[in-house]
Amino acid sequence: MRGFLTVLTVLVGLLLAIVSYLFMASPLGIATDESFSSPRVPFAATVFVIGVALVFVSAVVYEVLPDSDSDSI
Amino acid sequence: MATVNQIPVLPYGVGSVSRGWLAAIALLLLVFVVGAFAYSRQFMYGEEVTGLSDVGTRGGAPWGLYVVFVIYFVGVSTGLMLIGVVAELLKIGHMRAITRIAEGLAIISLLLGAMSVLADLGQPLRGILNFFRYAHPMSPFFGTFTLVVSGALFASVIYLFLTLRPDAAILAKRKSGLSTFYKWWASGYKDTPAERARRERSSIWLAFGILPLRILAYSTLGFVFGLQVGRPGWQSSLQAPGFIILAVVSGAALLILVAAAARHIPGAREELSIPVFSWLSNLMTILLGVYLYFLLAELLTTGYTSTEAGWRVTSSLLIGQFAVLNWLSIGMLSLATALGGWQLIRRSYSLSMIVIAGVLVTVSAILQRYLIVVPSLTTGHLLPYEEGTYTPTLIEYGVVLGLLALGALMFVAFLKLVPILAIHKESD
Repeated sequence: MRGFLTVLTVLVGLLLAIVSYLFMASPLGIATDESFSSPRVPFAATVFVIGVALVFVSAVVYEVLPDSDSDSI
Repeated sequence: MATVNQIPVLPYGVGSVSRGWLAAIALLLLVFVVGAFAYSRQFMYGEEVTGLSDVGTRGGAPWGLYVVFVIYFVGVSTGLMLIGVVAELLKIGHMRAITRIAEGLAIISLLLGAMSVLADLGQPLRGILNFFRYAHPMSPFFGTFTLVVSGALFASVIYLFLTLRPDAAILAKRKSGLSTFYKWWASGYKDTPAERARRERSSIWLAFGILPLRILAYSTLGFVFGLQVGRPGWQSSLQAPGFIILAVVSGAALLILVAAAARHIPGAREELSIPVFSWLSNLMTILLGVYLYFLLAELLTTGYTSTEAGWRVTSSLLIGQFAVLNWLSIGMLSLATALGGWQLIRRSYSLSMIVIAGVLVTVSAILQRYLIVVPSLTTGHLLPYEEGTYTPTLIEYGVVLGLLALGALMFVAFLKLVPILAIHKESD
């Protein structure tokens, strides 16, 4: 359970960071029109920060979750 | 663990308040209030009360003392975190004594860096909201503020929280007014072999996460300058690596000064011994040599190949309006390198010499940041503007002094809550 939740937190964090950077923020590349100036989804940077934070929260999940009999790591 | 229960008090002055401590707090609070008053004037009347103004026709610099201290604080934080994490990761025995100081100072410095950014903004609240709303991933500012101020700060707080859990578990068992606080911090830690193994594993993984994040994050701050093609004196591929080297150098220097002062804390002198300082001194000296080489390479490159505007920036540093500060800074860095090098060659270390080198490096590291930020703004124009000037006002000095006092207050409070040295020795 501990391992599953830790990996899940890392994956969700990475997913949020990658998706917000590549698909929610303003398009990457040479700007050809005004759509390059604004994010495709408002507050994409906030989602990116939450993603990075979640990756590090996984360490807390891994260490602080109480022991159970089925924990293997 | 059994002997721990027999010790009635908290170690290293934690939780105790002396008259000297109260006097120090009062003095720091006074300086902080002066800084808060200075900032209130700026908030009410705008940046007209500062020495900042537009480049070109206004003949000034829009980035000044605040941005200098953004780079200094974030750099010190990066350097301290790198030193602390590497010492933990490589299990350098005697260096474990300074990891706690390094981690605490790193978080405080990062907070001060974020506050310096806010001080530089005319409309700080609008700046915060619009950054999170509109930040553009292709801008170096995106990396700087998402990774540095948010990601790195969060990662550092988690790292400190987890590394302190074993100590908190010990302190929670002692009778004190803080035992509930430590119980919360320990969050169920019982020091079982399984918990120790998990602590070890997550410490390594966190270190591997924090090291690249911190290097990448602070490099983006270097890119803020290095990528500006229209600003001679800034555009350079050496900016980002130079920022990292100077970050570790200034972090080591601050660590030397704070650790030397911490030797006065009862019980800390034995662990904060000369080998700790000699290791920091050697690290600082070697990296100072690298930084001086970077400075020389940059000066030679711009001196031989730069454009007319680039040469104006270089000459302002060598013989112009910034020459005194530049040569003073290089002189102090060279003297610190010589002091450290002399001790390294002789394999004989003196704490007072190491502290003098630390003071020299701290002062010159701030001057170096000033010389990175200001000359290119006042003299590095591609358009035919007159050479500008920038003189910080009392308001700016007041705000910076207030921030320094706030940082000192936070660190003093940190010392009253957290043992400055690790008391859990299991993993030694």
